[in-house]
Amino acid sequence: MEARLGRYILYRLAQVIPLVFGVIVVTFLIIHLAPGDPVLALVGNFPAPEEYVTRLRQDLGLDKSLPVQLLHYLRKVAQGDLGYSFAQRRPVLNIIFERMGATLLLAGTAWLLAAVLGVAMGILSSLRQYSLVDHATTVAALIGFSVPVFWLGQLLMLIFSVGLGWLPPQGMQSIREEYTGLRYYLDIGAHLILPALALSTRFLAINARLTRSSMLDALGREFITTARAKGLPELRVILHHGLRNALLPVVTVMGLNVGFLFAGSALVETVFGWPGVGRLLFDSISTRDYPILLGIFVVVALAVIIANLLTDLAYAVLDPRIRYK
Amino acid sequence: MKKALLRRLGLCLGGAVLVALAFAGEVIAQQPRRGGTVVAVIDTDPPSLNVAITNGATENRVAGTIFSGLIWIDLKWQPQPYLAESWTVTPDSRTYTFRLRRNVKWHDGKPFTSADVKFTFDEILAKYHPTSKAAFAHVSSVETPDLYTVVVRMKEPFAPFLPLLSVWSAPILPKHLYEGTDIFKNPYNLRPVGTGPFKFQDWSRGDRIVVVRNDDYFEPGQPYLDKIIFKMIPDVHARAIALETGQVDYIQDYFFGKDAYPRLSRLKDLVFQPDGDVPGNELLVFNVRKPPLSERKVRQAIAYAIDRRLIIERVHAGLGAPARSAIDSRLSWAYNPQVDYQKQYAYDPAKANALLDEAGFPRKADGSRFTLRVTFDIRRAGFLPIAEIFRDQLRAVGIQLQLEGVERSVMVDKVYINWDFDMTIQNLTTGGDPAIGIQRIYICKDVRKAPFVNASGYCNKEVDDLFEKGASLTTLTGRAEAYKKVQVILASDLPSLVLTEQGILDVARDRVKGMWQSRLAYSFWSPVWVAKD
Amino acid sequence: MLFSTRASVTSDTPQGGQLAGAEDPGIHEKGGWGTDRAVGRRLRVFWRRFSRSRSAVLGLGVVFFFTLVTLVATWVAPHDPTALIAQPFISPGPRYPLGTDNLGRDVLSGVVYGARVSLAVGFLAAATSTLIGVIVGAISGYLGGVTDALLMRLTELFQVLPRFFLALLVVALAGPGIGKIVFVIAILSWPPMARLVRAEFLSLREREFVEAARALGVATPTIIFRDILPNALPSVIVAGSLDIAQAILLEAGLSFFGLGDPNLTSWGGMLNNALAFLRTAWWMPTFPGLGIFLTVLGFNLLGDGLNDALNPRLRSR
Repeated sequence: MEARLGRYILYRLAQVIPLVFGVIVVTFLIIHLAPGDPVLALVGNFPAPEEYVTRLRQDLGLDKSLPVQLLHYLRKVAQGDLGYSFAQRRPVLNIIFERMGATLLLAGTAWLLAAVLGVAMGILSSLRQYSLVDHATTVAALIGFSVPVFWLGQLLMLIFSVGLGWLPPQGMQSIREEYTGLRYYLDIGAHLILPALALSTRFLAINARLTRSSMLDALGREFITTARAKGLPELRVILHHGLRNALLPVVTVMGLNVGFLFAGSALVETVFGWPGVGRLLFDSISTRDYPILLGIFVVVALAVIIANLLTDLAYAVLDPRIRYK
Repeated sequence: MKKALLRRLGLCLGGAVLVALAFAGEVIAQQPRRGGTVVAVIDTDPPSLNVAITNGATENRVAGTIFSGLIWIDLKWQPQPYLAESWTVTPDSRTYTFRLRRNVKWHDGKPFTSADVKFTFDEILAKYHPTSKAAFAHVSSVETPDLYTVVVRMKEPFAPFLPLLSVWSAPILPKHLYEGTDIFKNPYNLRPVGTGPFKFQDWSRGDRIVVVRNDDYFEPGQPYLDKIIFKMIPDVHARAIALETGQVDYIQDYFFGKDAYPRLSRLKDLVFQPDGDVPGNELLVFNVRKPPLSERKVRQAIAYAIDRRLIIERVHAGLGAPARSAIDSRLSWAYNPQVDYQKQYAYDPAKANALLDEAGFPRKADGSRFTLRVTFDIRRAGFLPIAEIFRDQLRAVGIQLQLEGVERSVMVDKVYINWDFDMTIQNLTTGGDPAIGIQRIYICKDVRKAPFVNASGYCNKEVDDLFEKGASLTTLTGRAEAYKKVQVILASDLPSLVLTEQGILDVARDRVKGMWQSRLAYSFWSPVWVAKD
Repeated sequence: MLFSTRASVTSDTPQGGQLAGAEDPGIHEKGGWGTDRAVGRRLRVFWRRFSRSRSAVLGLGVVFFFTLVTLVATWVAPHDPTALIAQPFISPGPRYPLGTDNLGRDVLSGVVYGARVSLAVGFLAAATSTLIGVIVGAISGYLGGVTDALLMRLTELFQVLPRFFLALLVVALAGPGIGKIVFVIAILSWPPMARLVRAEFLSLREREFVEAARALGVATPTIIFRDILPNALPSVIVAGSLDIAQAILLEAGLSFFGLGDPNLTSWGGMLNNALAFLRTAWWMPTFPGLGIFLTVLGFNLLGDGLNDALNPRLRSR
């Protein structure tokens, strides 16, 4: 079992390299073949001297042919180097990591919120099928699943920040004050609430619905009936037998959520001015910062791949019947 | 010549007295107070803070507090002493002699001298600066007879040379940190060392840049503020909300989404200030290389068909004014009052229809004459609604308009590099002088594949000569005469239709005092202070 | 979208498809939805099951309503949505039921025409991605072996590409245009469908009626498209209807970033335009936002209803 699990992990890891390679090649080509000149995007709103433009082009390595640039980039990535940002002239890896913290905080909070609340709502409504709670959950989940995240974010901001003044509308930290210690974290927490709420809604809805339906499914199965017949305590039946089986699809979807969370966070970050990767991407498109764009795709794709891998492992732990290839 | 200087000094003194009188009441009540922080808005991380190799807007708003130029620009557009405490110009306008202040130190403690000025002029501005490179092309030599004297000799006179020496286009860099290094990769581009009122303190990416008071600033007692925080808020609407909720104190014109103005103007604790920046224009550039826009009558018809007041009212919340001429009327010495597009091309669809018929583009069975594309930067505030107004109004005269809103870099590529456009909406600064910001849109030499020059392809020898005169004559009246003539030609040829004289509007909380004493107010922070809350 | 049907087949686990390879004898038979009479009977069964759920019927109603609006937009809309017909910022009233926007355009007309863009993008993108997904999944699942391995690697590649980021990038760089938007959404949305169809095929190809066809020497394409595909269709229809909702949201997201086609009035574009006036003209963001929300809700309800009716074993009771 252990050895097989180990081999399975190795097998999955071996798949990562061609995937990352593919991601790089695809995004590299899209970025470089698109119309527009990154050098001209870097100069201000005035005709730039030719010396400056030529100089920049050389500096950025954009005077070489496309295949040479691609090979050069691949070689660097293989050494763990994502290159230098055109606009900021600092290592891309540093820039992305600075922003990744903010995105992970936002997306992680939203993910947790969705996992805990969603699963709880799902269990609750599956246990009280057709009750008021169940109907409320169903309706809320449908709404949460259909509402555009950016629209929701704006509504939340208008109500709770601009209207009621309870929570800060923008950014990750207070602008004026410089808090330390506990207040520093509380300050970030206050800024986190609205964007995390907006971002989590959709995933919360997915988790709630999925938990509900797979709980109902599991609770209707024979082994539950058997367990109940054996006189096991109801809570144990629900949690151990019901939930454990019901969680399988939920875990899968939560693993998949990771990719969607990044996408959603781009929208939420824009609405709330959250200094994360999504915003970095949007800013970097207009400045044509190729290395940052590529870097973001590589890092996010890696994150998704790792999340998928972890999902499968979680699956393995939850469902010991799985046999690995 | 000396007289001119004296007169200028006199004017300046007179102005100062007036200003002093006007504010006397307030000044007695409220003395500038030391201490406090101002939070100013910027959009996003600038590429660097070395403003000697770029004139990017964000860089300038931040680094203008850190660096200094030889002069600053007062509200009357006159150069005033800054790092240079005085200067003389020979009558032929070929030699400028600057006397530098002696008590100036770089933020790292090293003394500031004429060597820094020469180094910056010769090695950086003349080679790389987008705006002043053209000006320094007229310079034949920069000499430093002693530590505090700089002599600049010109190959030929260049009228707007002095006003270009402000921090906006000629910030002085420290020679001791830049000499012999790769200017583009110098680490001090990211933690700049200047001579200005504020010192660079911290830059958290994607969040804020902080500058703090320079206690060794050469103006005794100033600056008043402890700190300026430049807070990045990329979303233009979020900036207005941040001001409303009291999180920020100041939004400079460039970062201020004017559509929030009607709402904000109802708030009591905000002050609005026009004219804190160099005038800029929105214009519709025609590609005159191919029909139908190669026909002057078609271009004139479009001018008649577009109601430019509607742009001011519905897109710019009533701020600014419809343009009157190729040269912004706010550059009053150069503007020709005989030319007024609002009269010459007053909104008149019937006239537009007649001109189009005359030009040989009759309406087809479906009522349309031809289709045009308008290309613009989709992220530039206001351009999309302007294009939408065009679409509606041109439809009325039988012109179908396709909107091509693209990213800025794609726009530059299409419009300025490949000339692949019919019309384009642009927003260009006058630079404060026709020779700096306006002639580039019209002269033959600037029909070249480079951004923000003459994309229309218009080339007219007479226009070239007049702009040439305007840039090199040494008297203001002589210059003005040339510019007045050129406006008449451009008003009839219309290679570009200037749409608006853009309203300039800064907004700040009223606790911020002492701002807006310069035309480049955003780089003039030393006299700014904040009232106690 | 990722409710029951696809949850089980997204991960590369060995029992992928176990849930989705439904075994309801009522629908999955040799020849699928064969003769006319059989079709009629099945449709009646389907409708009975479908109409049992009020929410499913509601979803169908909403979708039907917006489709109708789309078809008759030219007659229903009081004005050309791009025309400046009145003063700006007139609040909703008898003359302009949903008010006018910042330029003085009629919001109701914008919402009506916006339905067109949303639905067109939704349908076209979902149809294209479904087509790609079905072809890839069918070939992969039926042929297996090296073809399967290669196609699945390709699918994985497209699945780990950050979808929204890439859409944003491509549309920003290539310039907006409704065709490009449809293409980008489709090309980035097909992998889940491919996996779903592959899983169905994996289980269906071992079934007796397929083996019988093979033994009779029926050509492979015929087996794929005539024998197996109709049996996989219920899952495809369910997933496809949910894909429409996703495509509508994605288009709205792109337009919200100002990357929609400026030559067409779209809900996302109207929302983007309304950003500056959230507080002064509540009707500007409210109605287009509501449009997106209701349409997406409609397709989600419809998808759920179809799921319950077509794959009864998975019904969420």
